[in-house]
Amino acid sequence: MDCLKKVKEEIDRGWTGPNPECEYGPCHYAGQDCTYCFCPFHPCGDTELGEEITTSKGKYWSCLYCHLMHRTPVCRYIASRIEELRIEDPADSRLRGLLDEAKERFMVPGKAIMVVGATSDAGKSITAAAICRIISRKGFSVAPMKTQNMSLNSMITSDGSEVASIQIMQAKAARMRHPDHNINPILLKPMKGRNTQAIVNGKHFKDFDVNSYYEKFVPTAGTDAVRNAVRTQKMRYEYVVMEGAGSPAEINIYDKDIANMRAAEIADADCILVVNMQWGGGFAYALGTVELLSPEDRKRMKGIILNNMHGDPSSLNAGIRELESILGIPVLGVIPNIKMPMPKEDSMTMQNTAAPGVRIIVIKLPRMANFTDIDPLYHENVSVRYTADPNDLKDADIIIIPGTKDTMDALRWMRSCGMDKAITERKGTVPIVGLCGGYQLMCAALRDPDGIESDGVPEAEGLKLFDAVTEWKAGGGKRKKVKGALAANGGDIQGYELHAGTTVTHEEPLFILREGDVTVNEGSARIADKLFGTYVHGLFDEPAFRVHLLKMTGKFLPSKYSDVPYDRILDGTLDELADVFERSLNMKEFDRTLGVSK
Amino acid sequence: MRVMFVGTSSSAGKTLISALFCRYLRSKMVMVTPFKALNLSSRSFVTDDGAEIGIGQALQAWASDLKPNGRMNPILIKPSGGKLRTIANGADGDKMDRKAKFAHALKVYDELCDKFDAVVVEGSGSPAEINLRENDIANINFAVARDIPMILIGDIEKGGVFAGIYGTWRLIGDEGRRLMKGFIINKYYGDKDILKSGIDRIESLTGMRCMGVLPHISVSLPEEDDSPCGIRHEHRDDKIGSYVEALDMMLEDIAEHIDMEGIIKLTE
Repeated sequence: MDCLKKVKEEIDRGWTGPNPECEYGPCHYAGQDCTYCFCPFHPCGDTELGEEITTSKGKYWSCLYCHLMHRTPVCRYIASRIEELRIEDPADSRLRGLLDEAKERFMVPGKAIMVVGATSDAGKSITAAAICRIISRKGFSVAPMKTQNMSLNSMITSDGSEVASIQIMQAKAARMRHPDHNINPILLKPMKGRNTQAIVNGKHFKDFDVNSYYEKFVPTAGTDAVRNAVRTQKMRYEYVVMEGAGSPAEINIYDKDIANMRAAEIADADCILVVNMQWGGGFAYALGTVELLSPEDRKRMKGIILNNMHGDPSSLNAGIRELESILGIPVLGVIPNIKMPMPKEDSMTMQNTAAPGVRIIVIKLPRMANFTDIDPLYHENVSVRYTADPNDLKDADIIIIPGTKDTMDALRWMRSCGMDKAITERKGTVPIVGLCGGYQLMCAALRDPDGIESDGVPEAEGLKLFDAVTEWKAGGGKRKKVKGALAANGGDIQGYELHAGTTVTHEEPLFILREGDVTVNEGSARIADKLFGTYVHGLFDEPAFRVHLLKMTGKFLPSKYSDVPYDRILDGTLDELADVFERSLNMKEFDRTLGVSK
Repeated sequence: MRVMFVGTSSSAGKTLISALFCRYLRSKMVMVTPFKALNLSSRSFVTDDGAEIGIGQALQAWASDLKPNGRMNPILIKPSGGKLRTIANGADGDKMDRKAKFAHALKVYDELCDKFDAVVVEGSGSPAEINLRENDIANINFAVARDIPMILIGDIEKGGVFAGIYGTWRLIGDEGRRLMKGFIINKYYGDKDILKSGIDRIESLTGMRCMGVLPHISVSLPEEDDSPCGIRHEHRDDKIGSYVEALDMMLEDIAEHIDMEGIIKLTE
């Protein structure tokens, strides 16, 4: 058998280390040790390492989440034992014993680090991302985790789980290949009224109000979900970089909060506090946050990062010395205000930019969702403006109607403020793009006979831009990753769908998706009227549709990123981000404080 | 009476709450004037006597049924041509050192105290910028120099409000803490009962009393560090009238959320 031949070659070669030039690409995580490209123990049948999955070709032992084999110390150890025992034949029964030896020796839980913030918008997400990348660059396996995230920006992972988009970004910073629901075990999506939809382990669990969430869910299923995710990720990765939510010092809900210090306790995490210096009062917030923690939790606080400093960081020195001497916790560094476009948690993603070039107007719908779709456009020669004012559409070069958690409600809002007319008036003059909920709004009619999307609106007229009808039915809709081509020119696209409601259209398709061996039409495109609608999130990630759309305005001026997939742009951005942190932090202190070293 | 409103951060709501307190005192026929020792603002208001003051003090002046004048904001620092320019009651403040500025502010304040029954003082930024403690003119140093009781305002919208309030109290020294009598939680959306255990804890840790939990108030008012609102020109009187009317309506709306009488008592 070929695998055995390959393993024999590996055994003969001994320890070879990482192989960055591998033509197959890194399998489990970037920077792994490829001595055992073919695992000598496969299929090990050990459920702590892998799982049996069913594929179209039958049952298969999957090692997707095995992070034992490709660590350098493990590979070195096994190579040296093979030599000692003079094992030459892959079928040698002693080989299997080496797996147990290696597990015994190296399967120790990884270390957890948690980034908490003195306020919201403190910069936790990008700090966690920077730390993920820094640790990954040191050659460790690392995964991000936010135990509980409240966000309407979510994505679908390759295992079909729904998680917050910002954790996917952090997973990219960690150079993970296969993030799953464990990076964000609890996702809370605010709904109309005071209820919240809880996505647990990547799947819809239940809807809660505030009280039932904290009283019923958190102490039971919520805590279980956090415990499981922490245990799983700590076994899989050498480091787990966690992110808190809001402030950990909300003393009125201290014991009920599963997003901050309770999660740190479950993970036995060392914590770093991030403080946004922009608003003033940063020292007070830092001191108050630490001192309001319980004495046990205070012991977890290992360092403080002062973030988003405008002006000369050395002007803070006297304050830093005083803060350190009061708290006995080191300030690890001062991060300057970062100017580059950076994916951020929700509200800040709606950055308005004022660069010359193509003017992109994004309609700020009520409960707007998945507007991280817009992020790749920030790297083009465009200005992006989110607006709820119909007058702003007059000088738009492109109008984008994003997704929303509640399409019927968004429609009502459009009608009430005249946004519907402002959009339809520009039909044929400028490209109008509807994404997911925005696409549904562009249809002629919206039908919701069973009240799945919205209470009490069984049928409504849409913007009538497309000869298409959207209907909500129980079990309708989709949530999966997709790949395919732009119908107009065959250019690549990929992304994911995540929607209730299905649209039947009589327009030309926008995309041709590949599902196994068959192709499926997706979305609507009426080129003559410059109208586009689709369910595919991430549609601007690949250059094909991004450039196609920008060219239609007649004002397209390529940027240096116009032919680069967003994944690669983001990868470069994350490296720059990590560079800024490495320059600004006392890295010796950082490594020592957090025990990040070989 | 005298009181100083300070904030855990910028935009905590000092300006508006000071204006509302001026308006409240005025409704009780108290002769009140606003005062802010030092204002760092890109937007200024030119008074009838030709002085430049912060737009917030102008609003507070109208709330006090006064015409804005230069003494309400003796020192204004204004970005101009990439530099900071200091204006001290019309004089070129750039030539004044910190000590001279402080003495100037105290002198103007003392004059106001002689003329008015009440002076409502607004602090500047956060009073707990420990890296700038020596340079402070408008916050703790000023309150301590004139024994002015203080009320701390925390903005709950950005989270961490208890930490902001507690940390500020911790970092202002014994003399500052002696004068810090109460706190207000501003910009709150939800159910007040949820905050109760946190408020109780801060009260027992610090001895400060919670004087109010204010909802997020959104009304079009001239705001500092905001785009120009055109109040310098024609229709000025109409505009002023509408601002004061808005303050009166707000006062009614927030009556049950803030203990104005309690603030008067605490600071006497």
